[in-house]
Amino acid sequence: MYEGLTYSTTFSSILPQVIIAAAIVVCAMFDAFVASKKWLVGIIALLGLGAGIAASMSLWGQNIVEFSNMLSTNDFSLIVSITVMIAGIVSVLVSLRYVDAIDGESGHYYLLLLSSVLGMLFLVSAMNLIVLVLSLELMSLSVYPLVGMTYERQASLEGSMKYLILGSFATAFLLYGIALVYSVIGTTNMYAIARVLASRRDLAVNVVMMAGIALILVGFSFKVALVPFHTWTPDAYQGAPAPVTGFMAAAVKAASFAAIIKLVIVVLSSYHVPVSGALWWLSAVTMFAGNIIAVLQKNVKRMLAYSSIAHAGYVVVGLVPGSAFGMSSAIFYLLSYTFTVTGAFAVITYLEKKDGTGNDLSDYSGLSRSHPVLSLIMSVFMLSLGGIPPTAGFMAKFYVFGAAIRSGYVGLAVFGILTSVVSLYYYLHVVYAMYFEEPEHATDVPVAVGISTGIVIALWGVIQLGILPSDIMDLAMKSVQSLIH
Amino acid sequence: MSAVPSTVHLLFFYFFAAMTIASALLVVLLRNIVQSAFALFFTLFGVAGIYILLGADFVGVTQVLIYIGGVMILIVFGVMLTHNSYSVDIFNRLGTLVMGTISAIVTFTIIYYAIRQVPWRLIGYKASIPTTRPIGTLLMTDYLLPFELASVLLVLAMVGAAYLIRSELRVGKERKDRDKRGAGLERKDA
Repeated sequence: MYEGLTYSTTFSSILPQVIIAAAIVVCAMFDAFVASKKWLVGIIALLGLGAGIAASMSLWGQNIVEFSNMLSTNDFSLIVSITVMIAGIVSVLVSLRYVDAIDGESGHYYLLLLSSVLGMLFLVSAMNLIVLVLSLELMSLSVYPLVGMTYERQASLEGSMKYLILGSFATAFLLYGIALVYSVIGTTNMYAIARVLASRRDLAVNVVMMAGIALILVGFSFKVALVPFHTWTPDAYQGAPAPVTGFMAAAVKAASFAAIIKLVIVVLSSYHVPVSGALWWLSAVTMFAGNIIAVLQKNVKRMLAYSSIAHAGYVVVGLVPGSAFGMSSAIFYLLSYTFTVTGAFAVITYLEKKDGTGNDLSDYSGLSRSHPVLSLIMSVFMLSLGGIPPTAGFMAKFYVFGAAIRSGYVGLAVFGILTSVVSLYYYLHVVYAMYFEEPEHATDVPVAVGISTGIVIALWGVIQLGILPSDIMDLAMKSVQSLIH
Repeated sequence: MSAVPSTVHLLFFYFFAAMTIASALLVVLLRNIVQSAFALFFTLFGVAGIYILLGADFVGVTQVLIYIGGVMILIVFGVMLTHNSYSVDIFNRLGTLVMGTISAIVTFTIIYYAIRQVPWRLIGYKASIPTTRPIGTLLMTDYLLPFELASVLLVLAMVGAAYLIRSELRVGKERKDRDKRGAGLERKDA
């Protein structure tokens, strides 16, 4: 009677996920039974993430499909997993002092951060739309409380609330879209959907199918904050504590984009309705609006929030051509943006005060007098965000626009280059303030080992990707190949 | 299996459909938020009835248990415990009414058009077979991973909520301490 209840699988392909899940349990136990020294929870989180990276590296080059074809561990899932775990490590390092200062009595911060990473690891290897939604929710649901962590500040809670409500809307859109696709095709497996899409031309005029795909795109556009689905971003990014904002801009964005890239490669490339037109408009509007509004900002965190919207537009430029090179360039862009933005927010964490002030441009004026090294590092990150060689940001933009031009999307590439010239204005404004303006008040921040280590890791990534990009680009190419069956 | 539903079947369908639509209209049109909340009971119940008519008995019962038994009770309690909820007029602006009507008509037209356009796969009317056993078997075999992920998700939602509430308690305590200190100082001054 229960012969259906046999279940055999090997767990080696989800070793990184198992390690992170174990680290979550250890963190929770430690938090419950040890009353003091909560920073030790952070150390456990660091160890877990480090072990997770090692496990991901050991799986490199394999292509394992497990759990009734629901999870696929391949180079693509691994390269994004490693990226988000590096972003996680930098975020934990940066948070060590911050969490002690704001929320000294709780180790839940690290627990939520780890569970968000767990969601991301499942998200990038999910090959089934049900698992995709569940892991996306696991990722987002862990970040909402982190945004509202500093309860004393109204802005923090407001950001958390907006993020929660609009994030839930996004999930509702996504679920509705998936339900419609399922009602037409009858499966939630991504490869099976692709096979049906490729074989049945009549689906190209099927209204329900079109609505389903459109709703799925809208849901993901919310998650990665493409204009016009970006309204939650500025408040959430500004209200959240600086390390959390860095984590959101780097890891959450990279993982959500990885899901989009996977959908485009695996499913939408077989669809007879080309989605590149919709992506073209999304990317153009996003690049334009994000950069123009960022110019007007006086608060550095809010400015970087709009800049993060604009950067999402640049990633989509890589998706528009639909070529393998374009996809690889988008992955490279995500890697470079992850390193740059975690570094930038690490510097911001250094300067942010407990009550959330210290983020205005005026707080950065004359910073080079009191903190020459910190100013120099911040300048490197700003130049990388602006796309100036020899940083990672330049190579990323070079590849993305190169991919667009190669496939004949010259107009979009030229438009992107123009908007990135506009963006230089506000990135260099920060550099100008640090070096050429008189300090308004004395800034004195004590040296913190954790934040400094995090900054060094991010800086290494920015320089490495900027000077020797071809190795990483090869990895990105291999990872895209691993998704194509 | 027959291609046409029986008369009883049809009668039940129209009964539940009418109940859903009428009570949904009441939810939107009633001026009192408590009455709206009670009308929502019948909307959710009607939907559960339609699920069962469609042969999805498990989904129907789950709808009753979770939406009517859990979510609705929470909503009613939330509404009743909220200060002055009886006197709040939620139906006040003409702009909302006009925009709401327009978007409702547009949405209905789109959905109606989509439903008529699509060549649905019809499987006919079968005698309803219990679905609980196959669902349970599938959850423990093919869908074990999503099942486990959903459990992790629920635990994390709880941790997240506890995290936010804990910091609220702490802030409340600090404020009370501060007030106490302030009161003490005043007494000293006097």
